[in-house]
Amino acid sequence: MNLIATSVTKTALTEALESQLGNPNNPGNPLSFAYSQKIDETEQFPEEAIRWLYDRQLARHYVPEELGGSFRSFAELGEVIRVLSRRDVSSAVAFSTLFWSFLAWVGGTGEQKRWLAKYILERQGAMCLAYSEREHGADLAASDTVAHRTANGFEITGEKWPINRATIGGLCFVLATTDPAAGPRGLSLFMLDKGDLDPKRYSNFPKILTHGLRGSDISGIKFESCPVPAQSLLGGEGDGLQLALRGFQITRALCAAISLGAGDTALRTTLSFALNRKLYDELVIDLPHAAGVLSDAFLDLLICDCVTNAGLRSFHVVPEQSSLWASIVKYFVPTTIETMIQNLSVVLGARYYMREEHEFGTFQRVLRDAAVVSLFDGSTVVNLHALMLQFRHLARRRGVRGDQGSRLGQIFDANTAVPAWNGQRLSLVSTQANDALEGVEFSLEHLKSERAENTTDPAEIDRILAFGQKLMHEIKGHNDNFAKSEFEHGHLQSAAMFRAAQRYCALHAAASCLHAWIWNRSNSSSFFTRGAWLVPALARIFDKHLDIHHDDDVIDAARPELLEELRKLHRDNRMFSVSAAALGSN
Amino acid sequence: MSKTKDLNELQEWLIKRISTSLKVKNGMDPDAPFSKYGLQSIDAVILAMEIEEEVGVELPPTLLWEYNTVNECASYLMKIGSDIAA
Repeated sequence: MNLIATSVTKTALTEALESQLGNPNNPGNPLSFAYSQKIDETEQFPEEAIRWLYDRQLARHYVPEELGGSFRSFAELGEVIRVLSRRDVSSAVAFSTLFWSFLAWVGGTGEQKRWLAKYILERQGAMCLAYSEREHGADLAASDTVAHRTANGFEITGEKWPINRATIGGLCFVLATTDPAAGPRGLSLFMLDKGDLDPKRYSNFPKILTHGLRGSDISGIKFESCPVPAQSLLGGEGDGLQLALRGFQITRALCAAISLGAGDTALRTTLSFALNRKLYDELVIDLPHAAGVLSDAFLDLLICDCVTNAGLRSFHVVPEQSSLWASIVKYFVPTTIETMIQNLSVVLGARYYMREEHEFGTFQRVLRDAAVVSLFDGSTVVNLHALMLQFRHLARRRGVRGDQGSRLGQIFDANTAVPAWNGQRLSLVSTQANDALEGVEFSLEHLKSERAENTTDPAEIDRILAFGQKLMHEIKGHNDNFAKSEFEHGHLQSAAMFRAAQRYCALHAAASCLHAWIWNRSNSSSFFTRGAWLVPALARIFDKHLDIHHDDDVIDAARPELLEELRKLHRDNRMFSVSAAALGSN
Repeated sequence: MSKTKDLNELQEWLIKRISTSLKVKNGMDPDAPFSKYGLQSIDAVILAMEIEEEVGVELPPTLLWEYNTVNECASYLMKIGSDIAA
């Protein structure tokens, strides 16, 4: 089996890219905050940033190694996206439409894959995903765009809107109906090179003015009996919906990396302010309320980092479960970080509302830009719905399956290699129970069995085990509830079902934090592996997301240590993340 | 489900099974696409998994996409009928 060692290279990749890009507060650097401010204020597409990224060969991270790129692991690609996003979300999003190429890596022929790899690596090609339609939004099966077979291929008619990079980009992945009577099998996916199209048969809609990502090309494309070559069909006729849904699994988890970058910047710029601003003769960071908000934000970032890391690694280890992990990550991380950023605004005070003050008005720009992540590529509602459909059959598959310990180790232990990704194992619904939830008991037993070698304070271990037991109780409750239920199919799901799906994501987040600590604590000593953050993080998830309240003491007692680490990371210019990677400083 | 199920019986079983899941009250047209009764794409995959468990034979996850009316689905199940468990 081909194993990919990611942990040794993961921080190295982040730090190398950070070093290349430098300190974003320096206006002379690419993707600086000053640049981000300029493209936001002028609503200009970040052309220079994108060109810089292509010129430095960063597009190779989206192309598999066997096709000449350097993609090996989703965790690594996530790191690249995070590094870009923490500087300018618009540029990160505009560049990362390259991740639609995974549709071809999963569903394309050898020839199509080789062509696309060259298109990206040699022609600096960019792409868009043309699924949405004005009247149908996320209801892909209701597509009004049609593709008729012709002697040489197909003819496409229809309009796609709103579409990111529909105009500035040479490639379009278009979903169109090839057989209106065939229901879900009636859709086909086309990989269209605009160079092959008659320019009189397609046109673009104007740039849409948006709340955030103001410098982006969010527009649309219209086809009018547009001939397209037969070889532009990806997969077979009728495979479109399957391919689209499997493609979303990949991109949804990667979207979380955009949120993580934005969250780091929001916290960093707020902290910079709090460390220097005096109010009532105290520094803002020393005011208890501000200190609370800042340390809560740090916990939120660590929690979301655990969830995202595990999600990205899980694609390699348990791709059969990707439909679950992807939707959980896509719901939980962006919404948690958006709330986190909103919470931070009270510390920044009036400056949060200003576009030119304090570090190039970065906070308000990140607040607006980051808000897109929970909306696109499967909104929160779409992802919660996708999860709730699966609850009953997952509950009936609960329990231990196969070599659970080995899978948990591969997913959560950063020093363990993951298998090479196999996109053919992606499945529309999960055929296996969620290893993160079903594996909590195993990880807790693992923790107990290593108790003698623990350097962690035994009282702390007891607190962790106690939370673990509470978590297992909640997971059992969820499974019991759904194993017996009469599930109603369809889109008219009750508010209670959405609430259950939100809680399910919170259970997964808590489990991810627990596993991440248990499986990494014997790795080199760091703030993360020493674990003072874990009980407060679990308490925060229980409190905010599960509505199960504990003593405020649990989190308050940890605040001095959390704040000390936050100050240290800020002083040392390191990421507010599990890895604490060194950031660009010049 | 008996080994000797004929096509009519299969159709009736499917109608009953799917109507229950989709809470269809007034009967199903065996030639109407399942989407008419509110069966969406992922739902259909899950329902196919449930049917697979009940009939005890491996079925494609996109069963109800490929054969998206009662008649088409029943005909498909008839074709693999000798494998369907008693």
